[in-house]
Amino acid sequence: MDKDSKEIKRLIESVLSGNRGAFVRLVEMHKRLVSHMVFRMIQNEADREDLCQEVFMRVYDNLGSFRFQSKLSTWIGSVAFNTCANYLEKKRVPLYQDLGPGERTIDDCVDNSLNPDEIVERGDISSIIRREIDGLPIKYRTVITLYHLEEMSYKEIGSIANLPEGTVKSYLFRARRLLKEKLLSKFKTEDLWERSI
Amino acid sequence: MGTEHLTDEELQEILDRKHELAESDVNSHLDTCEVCQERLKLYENVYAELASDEGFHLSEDFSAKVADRVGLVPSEPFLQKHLQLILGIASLAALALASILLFDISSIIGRLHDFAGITSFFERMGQSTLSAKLRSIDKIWSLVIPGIVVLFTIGLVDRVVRQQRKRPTSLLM
Repeated sequence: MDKDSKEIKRLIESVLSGNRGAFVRLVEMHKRLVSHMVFRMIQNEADREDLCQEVFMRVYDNLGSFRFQSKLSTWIGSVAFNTCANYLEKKRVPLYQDLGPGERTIDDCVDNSLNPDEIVERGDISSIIRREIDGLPIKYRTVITLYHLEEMSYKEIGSIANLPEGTVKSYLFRARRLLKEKLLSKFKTEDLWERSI
Repeated sequence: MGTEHLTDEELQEILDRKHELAESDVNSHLDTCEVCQERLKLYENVYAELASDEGFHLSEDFSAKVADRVGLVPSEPFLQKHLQLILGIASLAALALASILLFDISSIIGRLHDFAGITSFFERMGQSTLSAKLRSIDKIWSLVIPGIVVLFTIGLVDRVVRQQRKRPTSLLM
């Protein structure tokens, strides 16, 4: 067990013994991860902070069952994912929107409502990409968030989102290619270079 | 790599740092192919945006709020934490002092002498006046003092029990 793991173990033991300061520290260490996941999975702004609190309450209630089979951050990520999934289930929002024959494809999930004039008026590549990201199916958004913002490995992402590593890799590839194609279709490449400078 | 353009997978792998750029065919193709350079630029835009920390901001007291919701109470400063104990001891000391000053407690202390050796301690210390008082103890006071000690002990036990109740009963699932 390395130094970090020992420190995490001591932190968990302190939390389990009822040390408030230790729990606050644990929350501080992981609130960025949880807030990123909740932000990308939940679009209702009013519910986001409550959900983040619920995630950490679940973490607290179940911390005694954590057996160090993964990193604590991975475990907390999976608690966050499941909490959001339960919330979405109650709201009847599907985690997958593009699976199975005859259903929507990932391209259909992305917003095509912007016309070129609107885009030019907004003139902001960043906001366009964000809008396209928001249009992706939830599991795609989760995977790209964990990979690009939290810099997690395919294996860690798979553990959190209950996906095989190959599927994680495939989701990442497809989401990024799609975003690139959407950018390409909405701008001439010369415009893009000018706007990104 | 010839005139064949790089695949999307290869372009993404470049940005994922999975290609050894310096020595790969991919790199030499990129140096000469403007189409692939432009496609790579597009991906760079996408990657940059995906890695930007746009999230929402939690309230400043978020961690404290969660700790409150799970029932963890803030730890008190030392003085506040032990205030009850300090006040208890101070009260007892004040009571003992008042007893010495206001009442004839010689009979009380005399009785204590039999089982605590207090008077001989004071005699050794040369405090004969106090020692003389200690010898004449009253029967009633010999009951009052143990009574106070019992009440004080009950108070302490009660405090410990109440502290235990504030802790979570179970942290397991």
